[in-house]
Amino acid sequence: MKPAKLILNIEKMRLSFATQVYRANTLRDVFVQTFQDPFSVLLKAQNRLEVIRDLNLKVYEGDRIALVGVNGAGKTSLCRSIAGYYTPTAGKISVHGKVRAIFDTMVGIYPELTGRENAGILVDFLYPNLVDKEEKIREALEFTELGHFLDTPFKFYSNGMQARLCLAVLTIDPTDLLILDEVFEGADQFFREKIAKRVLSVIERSGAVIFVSHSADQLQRVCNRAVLISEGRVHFDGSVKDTLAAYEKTHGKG
Amino acid sequence: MSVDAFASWQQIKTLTFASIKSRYRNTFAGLLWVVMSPLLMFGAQSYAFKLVLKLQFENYPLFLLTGLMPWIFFVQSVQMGTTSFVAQGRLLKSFPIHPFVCLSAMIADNLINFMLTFTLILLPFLFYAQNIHLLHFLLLPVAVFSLFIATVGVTLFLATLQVFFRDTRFIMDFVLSIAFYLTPIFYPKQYVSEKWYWLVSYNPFAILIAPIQSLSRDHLESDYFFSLSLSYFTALICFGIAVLYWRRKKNQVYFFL
Repeated sequence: MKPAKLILNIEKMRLSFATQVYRANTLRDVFVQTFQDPFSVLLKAQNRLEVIRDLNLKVYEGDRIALVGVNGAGKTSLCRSIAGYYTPTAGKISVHGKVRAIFDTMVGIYPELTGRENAGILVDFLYPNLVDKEEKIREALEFTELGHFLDTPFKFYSNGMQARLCLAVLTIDPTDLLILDEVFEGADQFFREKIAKRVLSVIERSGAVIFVSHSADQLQRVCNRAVLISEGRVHFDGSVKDTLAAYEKTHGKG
Repeated sequence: MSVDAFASWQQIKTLTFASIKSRYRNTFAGLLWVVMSPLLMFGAQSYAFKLVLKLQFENYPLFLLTGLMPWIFFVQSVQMGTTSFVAQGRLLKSFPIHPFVCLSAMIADNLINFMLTFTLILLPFLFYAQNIHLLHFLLLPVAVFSLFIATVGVTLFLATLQVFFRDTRFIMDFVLSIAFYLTPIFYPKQYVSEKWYWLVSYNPFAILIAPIQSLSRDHLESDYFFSLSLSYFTALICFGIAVLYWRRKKNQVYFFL
């Protein structure tokens, strides 16, 4: 039997953030502190927040992986690192193929432009080499059932309408590695069922999928493998059923 | 997200046109304001310095125009761009749009406005004045491009800094208001005494606009190409520092957004 193609290989990955100075401070504060206590500013030890610690993960073609873990375990940071937002502090991420990551479904690129125009821009960014682009955009827009609202500025859309448009566009075409991070959160009840079928279709056609959700039903419906992330490490890697059991055992039933 | 040069160029183009469309959608007044505000500023300063203070300098209105228009472009871009990462944080964290692409498109949109206004005001000078050197005119886009590179660099640096220090924008407003008087925009650099000439020699903005200001000369200046090269050198330094800073802080930017 031919071994499945390796799509993602993460070796000893670490990710940490410097948390000193920032956010609460302003340049004015830094200026004042530098004059008041220059030694403390220069010699202050750097606090680092360790988000991912020596994480190893291999993803093969055909894997539909559920990432499971409590809030703050490092799931989204891991997904963002794979998608290229974060550069690992140490270790290596190798992706063999194209990655498409979806983290939010309620954001318009230009809120003043209409839903139809935003969909066009989004498609240009997500699928630069899409064949039959116009036809596929038309089909996705039809799927949203937004009708005349498609020609209304995106900023006037409700959360549900924004999610409909974004999800329809984001599921136009499959890719080698698809990352879906809690993508159903904004969709309304009726549309959730409808979009679930569409998402399942794009998942089936994609090489591998990493799926983040807090819904055990969704994970069991979509995934064939699950990884439990705890304190930035892979705590358990196995079938969805076994991983969810390990999750419950580790963190208790939520 | 890696930056593929060709893909980035395509994305900048797409976002620039979308940004123009978004800004002027159904607002003819918006377009009019873009042209009118620099024109009014130019008119008021021409009046104050030429007619009230009676600055005696050859081709003064054209000299003022070639300094003031780039300054307005630079200041507008910096003011809009400095808060752009924070304002668009959710978008940047959600879709594969490189912040650099977003920022460049916004500045390219400003550049198109600037070129449009600049050309409109320049037209009467081209028709009625016989004192513009052809080479200065033909190389104007080359000179403006170095200003564009520098503006993208400065704005990228400040937008990154704004993520960590939320008063960066206010401090920059203060710095820019001082820089306006220290830069030979409404007075020629020949008016600066030898003692204070270093303020012009080492002023990056003065270096960047010098080749554009050459348009007000009726002869090819002996140091024109040196001045053009120096402006590109300055622009590339600004851009290089900004890219290095961005690369160093990229993780923290996404983390704090």
